[in-house]
Amino acid sequence: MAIEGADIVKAAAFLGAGISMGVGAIGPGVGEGMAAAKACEAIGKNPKEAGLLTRTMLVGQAVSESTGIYSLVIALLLLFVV
Amino acid sequence: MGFGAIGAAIGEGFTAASANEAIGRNPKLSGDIFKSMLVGQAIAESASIFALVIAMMLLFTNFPAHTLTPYVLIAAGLCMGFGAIGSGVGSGFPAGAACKGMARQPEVTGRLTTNMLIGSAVCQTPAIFSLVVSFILLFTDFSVRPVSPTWAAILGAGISSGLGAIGSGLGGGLVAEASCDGVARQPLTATPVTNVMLLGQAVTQTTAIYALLVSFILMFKSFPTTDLLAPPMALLASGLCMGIGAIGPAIGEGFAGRSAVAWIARNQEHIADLTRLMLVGQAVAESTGIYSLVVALVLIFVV
Amino acid sequence: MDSLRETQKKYCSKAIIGAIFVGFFFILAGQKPVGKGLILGTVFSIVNFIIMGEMIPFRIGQSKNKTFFFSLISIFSRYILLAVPLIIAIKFDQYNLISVVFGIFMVQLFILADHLLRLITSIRRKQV
Repeated sequence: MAIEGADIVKAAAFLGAGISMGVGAIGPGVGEGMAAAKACEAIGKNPKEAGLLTRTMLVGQAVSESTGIYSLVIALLLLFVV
Repeated sequence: MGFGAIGAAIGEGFTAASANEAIGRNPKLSGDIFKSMLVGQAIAESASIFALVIAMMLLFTNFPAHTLTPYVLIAAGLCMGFGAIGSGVGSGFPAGAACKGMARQPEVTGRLTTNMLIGSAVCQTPAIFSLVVSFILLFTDFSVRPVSPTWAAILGAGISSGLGAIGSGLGGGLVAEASCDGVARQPLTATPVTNVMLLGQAVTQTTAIYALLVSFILMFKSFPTTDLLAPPMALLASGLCMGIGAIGPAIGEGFAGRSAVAWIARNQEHIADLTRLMLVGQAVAESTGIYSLVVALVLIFVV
Repeated sequence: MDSLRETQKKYCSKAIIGAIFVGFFFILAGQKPVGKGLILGTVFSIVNFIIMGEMIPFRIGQSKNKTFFFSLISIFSRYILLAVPLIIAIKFDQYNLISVVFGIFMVQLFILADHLLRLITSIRRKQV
């Protein structure tokens, strides 16, 4: 196996991209789940506000999603730019 | 296998603790509670028995000597070991909730046991995925494939479905726990609660299915021989990415499903609203899992 | 305690009858290792299930840490028991490995099938 500098850099970049996206997906996934859980609870208690609650939940989830998108961006940068 | 045993033990310990509490509350019913505990435990344990099967095969089978064989053995072991944790712990949740529920509402014991068993059976599916992947890894003849990228593909396949199964097992368990609780509180709502539970659990299983998909691609696609380090690393990274990435969304979906099921049991008129909200919330949580899938597929096919 | 024994008896007898029936079918069809393996696995599965039931009362009425510890011990002891048929199947050709694995899960399969049937019949009764 001929291992050269550029090859090692590329290999490390691929591995880094995989780990970045993988670990980066945990936090947002759990966080969005909690937001959805609380929204369900709130609708259960106060069904009249369903529309407002759904909207609020989606906004909150979009914000917590942003960290997941950051890791996606980093992963794609590592894959295609480095 | 060690991991699998620990997972099963936590699950059983949880069940036993809940049963303890339940018997304390209503000592007359100890027979029924024991019965349900036994049946629930038998199902919860199957994940760790899967791990046992694979461990015994790894220890006692004579594998042909080949450069790839050690990788196959490590991958199969990792896959099943990690895969059994989630299901073992997850199945403990509904069993515990069912025991508590029986103490509260002795009349619904039969319905509760059925609900618990179906919930824990669904929790076992990710462990079954891991078992299938381990079996395929052990029985496929990799010796004709080129050594260099294939070792990484084998390891990646094992890690992907092994880690991917943790989240789905736990998430499915959370949903089932809430449904057992719900049936015990409001026995009249048993049918809708079971239905929504199955729906929510099906969504939590999707990330495990993504991980299974990535494993299959890694195992069955033939890769060209290479001398470089980068292509095998890409395959390994795709397995890691999908495996780790599947944990978070599945647990999050489990939370969403648990809450939705719990409130359907209390507020039956708004099933439609709650189910819709649960599915929307789960779909958003799923998106990070889909990002992981996309990155894993890019790592396999594009790079 | 009696109802616990009854449940055990019910599922164990169902599982062994099912295993012997299917096993003989395989033996008659000329697949002797498959049939023998299935019956061997089921016997160990039943022993495991009975021991599991006998251990439960010991774990009740203890502190949480003790319960966890006790569960771990009971699981490991039963692991050693279940490892026996698997090693036999791997070492000898008279028993088919896959069918032994199926046999080990026979009790669980019967429990699940029983409860699924109950669920389906209860839903049907409601509709009628």
